[in-house]
Amino acid sequence: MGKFLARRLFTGAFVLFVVVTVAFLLAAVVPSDPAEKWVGPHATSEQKAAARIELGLDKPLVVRYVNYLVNLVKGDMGMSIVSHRPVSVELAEAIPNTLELVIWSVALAFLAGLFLGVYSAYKENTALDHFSRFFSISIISTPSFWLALILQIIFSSTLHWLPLTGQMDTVLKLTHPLTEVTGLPLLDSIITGNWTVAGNLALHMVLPVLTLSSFSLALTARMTRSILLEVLNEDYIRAARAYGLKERVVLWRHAIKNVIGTVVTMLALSAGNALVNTFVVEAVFSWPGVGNLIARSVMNLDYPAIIGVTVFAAIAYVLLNLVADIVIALDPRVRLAQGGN
Amino acid sequence: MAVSGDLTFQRRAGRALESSRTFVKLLFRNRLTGAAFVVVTLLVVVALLAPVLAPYPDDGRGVVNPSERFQKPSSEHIFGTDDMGRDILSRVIFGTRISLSISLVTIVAAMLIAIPLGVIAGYFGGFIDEILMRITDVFLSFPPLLIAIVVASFLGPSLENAMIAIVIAWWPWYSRVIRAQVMAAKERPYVSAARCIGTSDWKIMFSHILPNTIAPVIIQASMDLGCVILTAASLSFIGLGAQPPQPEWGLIVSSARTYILDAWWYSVFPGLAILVTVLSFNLIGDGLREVLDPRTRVR
Repeated sequence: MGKFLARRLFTGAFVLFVVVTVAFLLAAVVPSDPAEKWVGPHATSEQKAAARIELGLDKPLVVRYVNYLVNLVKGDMGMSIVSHRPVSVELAEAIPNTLELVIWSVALAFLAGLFLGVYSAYKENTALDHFSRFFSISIISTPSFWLALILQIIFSSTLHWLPLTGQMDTVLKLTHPLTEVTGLPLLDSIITGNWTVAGNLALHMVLPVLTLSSFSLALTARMTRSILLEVLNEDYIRAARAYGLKERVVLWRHAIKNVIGTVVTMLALSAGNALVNTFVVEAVFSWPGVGNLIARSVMNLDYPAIIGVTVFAAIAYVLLNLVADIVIALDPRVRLAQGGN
Repeated sequence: MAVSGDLTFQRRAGRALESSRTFVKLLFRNRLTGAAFVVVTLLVVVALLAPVLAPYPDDGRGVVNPSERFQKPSSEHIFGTDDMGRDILSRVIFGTRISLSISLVTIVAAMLIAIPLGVIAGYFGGFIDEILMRITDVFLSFPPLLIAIVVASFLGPSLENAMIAIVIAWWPWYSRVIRAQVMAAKERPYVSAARCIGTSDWKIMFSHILPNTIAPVIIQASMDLGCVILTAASLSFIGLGAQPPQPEWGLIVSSARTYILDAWWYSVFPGLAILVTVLSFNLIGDGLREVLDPRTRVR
């Protein structure tokens, strides 16, 4: 196990290194002068020259690259060209907001998807099963940004049940200021008992979370169904039924154990997918997360910020892959097959 | 010699025809797959005949019509009109051309990059193989959409750059598939036989092994068509793909975003077009998978 982990960690570090290098090189060769953006369109050539020195652009590429790597290890990703603030600070503000969306949507996807999948497998080849399968594949084929708009049209602009965009009402930031504990807004508001804000945050989260979870939910349901169908044909299930156990017990206590491992692995990987989807969905809901950050950076060709978000996404991905590998490795059957590797 | 050759040929052709007949029969046993095939055929026809079928062909090409802004769906404009007074149905019809050609061009381009690399890596193994595998490792650690977003944001926003980004995100998957196939095939007797009579490595790779190993890649690629359309639409939606006034579906939905409170039809119909197209491709892909992998066949 230790050896296996070490090898995975090494691969992860290698992937990160390559991503940082490629992102840095791409930013360096793209024909756009960061110094010009830094000082704005009306600057004199002296100001531009000063900005070049301030941003370290006068040094050779290799020196800049090494500097970037050294600073990155210290957690410094340079300055955003647009906002003139450190990229690391902007990321630190955006990540918790995105994370909260991802966590809730993956949790919803897991519970609802598992339930739908089990039910669908149990009622195999009935109308309900067919409907649930068609529903799953339709959801997978739906562009998430469009689903977000449809939900907005239904629940905000027609029924007026839920807010259209944003993370919380701006007024509340003044009347009920949020004390930071973990950095995750909803969790913080619950911990500190700030119920007004918690309620408001939750209302704003419903539509983004529904949108984001739909894809993973459909995937979970499909996967659960197909694995469970295979499991239900196995001898130990027949044995359990022969003992006269209730169908509910057979399903939820005996069969489900052989399904959950694979589903969790897939969810760890699809959490990454949810992360990318936030980039698109956050744009629709004006959610102040990483997705909005990258949208703004791309619009302004703010390369330090683009590299920053890329590095963050790479780290998140490597970690999620690692989690998936560990979950697989924890399965005693896999350990046996690998011969203790 | 000629006669026996013809006989084997006929027998082989007959067998192929028979197996393809069972294949098609199995494929269409699922009625949804059949329906999806019909829809895709219709979409291709719509794309080819767009200027004839669109009620207002000029609107599809981007001519604005300020006096007709935000008309509700009616018999005159079945899908309504947009913020520039253009007929949305015509734009959706012209968008079919863009989406279908994006998916076809990028998938073919990705295969053209992936197949030679995968064949060479699988055939020679060793150092070349090691390098290619480490490169694909990096790519496969991330979902294609993420890679496409990052690459497109470095290249700058345009439809061509979005397509390049998608190709870059996609080729490693096919390289992996073809490499595994080639590695298995190169130990087969027909390869040793070719080598014994002195056939060159290149000829063995590309005229003996390749035709025998390419099928899984083509199948995988056909399953990916829908996913590519979705990725391209997402890129356009966040401003990294097609640019106005191109009638790309994702872009139309994106410009409709500002008006969802007043003009629901503006965003609903182009999105529906994406959904129907991608769903059809995915249903076909699902049908293919079910036929090819008997374990998942409907019991």
